[in-house]
Amino acid sequence: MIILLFAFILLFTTVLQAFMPKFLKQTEAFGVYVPEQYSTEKTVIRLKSKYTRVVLIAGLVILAGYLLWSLTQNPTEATLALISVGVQFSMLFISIGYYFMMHLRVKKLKEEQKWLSGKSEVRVVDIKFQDKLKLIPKVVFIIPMIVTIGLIIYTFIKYPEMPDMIPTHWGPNGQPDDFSEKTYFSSIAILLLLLVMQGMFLLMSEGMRFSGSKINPANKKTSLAQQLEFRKYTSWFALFISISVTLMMGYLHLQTIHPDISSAWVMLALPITFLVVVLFGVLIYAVKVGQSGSRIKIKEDSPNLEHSITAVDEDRYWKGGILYFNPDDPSILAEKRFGVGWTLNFGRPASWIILLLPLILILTIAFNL
Amino acid sequence: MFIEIKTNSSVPIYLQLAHQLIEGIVRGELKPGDSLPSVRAFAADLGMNMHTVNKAYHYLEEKEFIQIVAKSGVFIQPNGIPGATVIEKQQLKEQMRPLLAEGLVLKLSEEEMVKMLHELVQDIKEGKP
Repeated sequence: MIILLFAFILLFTTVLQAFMPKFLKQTEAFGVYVPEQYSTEKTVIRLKSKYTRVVLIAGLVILAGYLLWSLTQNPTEATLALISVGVQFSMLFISIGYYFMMHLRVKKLKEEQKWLSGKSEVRVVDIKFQDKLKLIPKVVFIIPMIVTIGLIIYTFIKYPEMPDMIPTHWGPNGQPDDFSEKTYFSSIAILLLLLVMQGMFLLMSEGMRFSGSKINPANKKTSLAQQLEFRKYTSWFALFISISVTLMMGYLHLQTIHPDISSAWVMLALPITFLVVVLFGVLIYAVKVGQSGSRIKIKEDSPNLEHSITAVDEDRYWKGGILYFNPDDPSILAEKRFGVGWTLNFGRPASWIILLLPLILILTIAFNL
Repeated sequence: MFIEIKTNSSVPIYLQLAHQLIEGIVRGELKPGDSLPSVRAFAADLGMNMHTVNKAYHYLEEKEFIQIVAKSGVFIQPNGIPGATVIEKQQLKEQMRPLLAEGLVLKLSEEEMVKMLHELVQDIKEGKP
């Protein structure tokens, strides 16, 4: 069962990683800005399909090796868990390593062929962008947080009836396998974790409000419409995950207070359902929406085929094409260049707080149990 | 309304910003009382320092084309922009003088320069770059 689950996750991440170039904007290849007219350049296309092939083959070979090893060697549970996680990480390192090779090749190609020489770099802004943006209001993200606070109060009311040992970790079979002594803190620890996570989803949705729009001057209307859709869907996606996490962790917590609502079957099915639902959401997001909404078809297209203008080349702010570092830009969130979703602007101190604060909170909760 | 800024132009960015907003007002795309993006949001969209946007807004505020209301936002002059005063007319004339002199030195005729003026007025009204 565990083996199948890990194999499925490995397959999923491999396929998503391998076909990543398909989910991205045409004007960005391996984290390098590619002006519109070079985006269909043969070399660029070839590098993209080569990346897909290599990552896919590497992933499938690792997957086959993993299945062969785990099904024939009958490893102990501890070894299996270690190897399973190790396999996921090695796949991650392979795809990132190969990404970097491709990144350097496109960068070199760009310099050699002088893609930007003689062009004027244009930045396009829609001054009504804020008004056109349709994000889910803050309040909606706060509702699940209120539910959590309600659960905390309920827990304190029911505190005397709770068992002396509070489960803090659940095994793959859905049964608790680690406990903490009952204190006011340990009885609500899982809810505090939930609160931190809900807070992160709220920040993510709100962060998009103040993240700079990147409108392609060669295709203003289309890229504007795609941007707006992308942000709308991200906001929906964040809410969807926030509610799913709330339901799952809320149930886990409630059944500690009321053991009679617990059922082995539900405990087994719950995490798997959650996983499938989340992966399915990710898939729809990547395939239907795509990074920056690049896969959404927009009618009323009026491409500007003038080759003398390009968007502003921001490569210098993107370390390795992955880390965005621009102290001048007040945006906290930025659209990833290689990957579907968002990253932080590490040139702003607020980004470090947003990155480290939840981490510190989670670690503090975990180590005080 | 789209604003287009050329980052490698010799015209300072804050001036490009201000000029395009003024053209937006001329065309009626920006009407009296319309709100403009906050300094922060505008700077984020530009990927530039907030200082640049501030400078453009203050430039326009000085000319009384926009109003900056603390904590509430930035608006196109709600009562509409009045016609030029005698002083403003005088200032514009002074700013045009060196440009005309430069044209004359380059042997442009008066007719050619008047034609240029007509074309520019047309371009501004049609929103052509």
